[in-house]
Amino acid sequence: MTTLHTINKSPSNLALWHSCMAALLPGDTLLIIENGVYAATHTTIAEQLSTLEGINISFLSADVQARGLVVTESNNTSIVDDQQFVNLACQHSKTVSWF
Amino acid sequence: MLFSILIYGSAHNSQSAHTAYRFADSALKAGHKIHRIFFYGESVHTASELSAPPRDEQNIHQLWKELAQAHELDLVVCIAAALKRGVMDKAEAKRHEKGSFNSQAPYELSGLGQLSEAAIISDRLITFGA
Amino acid sequence: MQQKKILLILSRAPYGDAHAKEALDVALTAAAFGLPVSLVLTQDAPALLLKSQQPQQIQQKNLASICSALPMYDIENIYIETLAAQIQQITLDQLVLPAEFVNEAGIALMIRNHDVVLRF
Repeated sequence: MTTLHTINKSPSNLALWHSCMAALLPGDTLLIIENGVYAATHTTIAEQLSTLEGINISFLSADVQARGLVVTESNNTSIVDDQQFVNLACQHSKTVSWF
Repeated sequence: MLFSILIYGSAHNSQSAHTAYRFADSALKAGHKIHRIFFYGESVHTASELSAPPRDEQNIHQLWKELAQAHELDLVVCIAAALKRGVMDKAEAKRHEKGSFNSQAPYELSGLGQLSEAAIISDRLITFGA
Repeated sequence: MQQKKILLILSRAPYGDAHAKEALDVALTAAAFGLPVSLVLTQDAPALLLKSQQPQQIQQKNLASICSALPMYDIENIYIETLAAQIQQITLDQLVLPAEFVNEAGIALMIRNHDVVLRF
């Protein structure tokens, strides 16, 4: 019964990011899309994302590339393409969109 | 897997309709089925065929239309949200005594009940937000 | 087929844009389809329930009146996020209908326990 969360707003929308991160439970994936990908270079949000335990963090490749950003992959952080986005939606039993 | 997609972002002032399009295209390529695409809120402008972006820019109306025709997708536009924003098909234009209309198949105007039905029928309902 | 439980998470304030009204329309329609609907009001959305709303001068429908009809559609699980209510200084006695407080951890569990989650 895990959840795929997507978030598409930049971290300057702190209240949204706060609510979203508070809603994550172990086993969930947070897929960061559209302007959300600026989280990769946002000092406080990037730091908070790296400390989430049991949560998979993914960045949508096309959006990262479009904005000229660099995402460092790690144990809990990956870059995914559109096909993997679909796979994530299949692997989790529901999706929640934060926008 | 049977998907339905709720598009809620603005047709021309948000990336969401295009992200949703890429998701749908990828899902179909992977062999999944799509029960319905539901356009709500500002996304209903996607159904206006009078949108005429410059040739070198994305045409979201056309992209969805072609995908729908290739895969017989059910493109449902929330009728209340559409009429309010001046998106209407021939029948609604006549009903509301308007001199012209701007939407036709494969886009179809229908009620919010189609969203509830999609939620019931589909394995996954995914929102692409404003 | 097993009945799906729907959770609607509202985050927007009334009137300034169409999101809150459109979300309520989704809730009422889903309930009319016989789906069990739970409602959580977060961020700016708890203000939707204030009974003091008088939107006549801005020519909008009173969203509090629409909210007061929710129980008639069997939408009785209505929650407001504790912190959001505190920040807006909203208390339960100011609301048009009975609601319960829920904290962020409670919302995370509600997401897990529902089949379909829509946010507006």
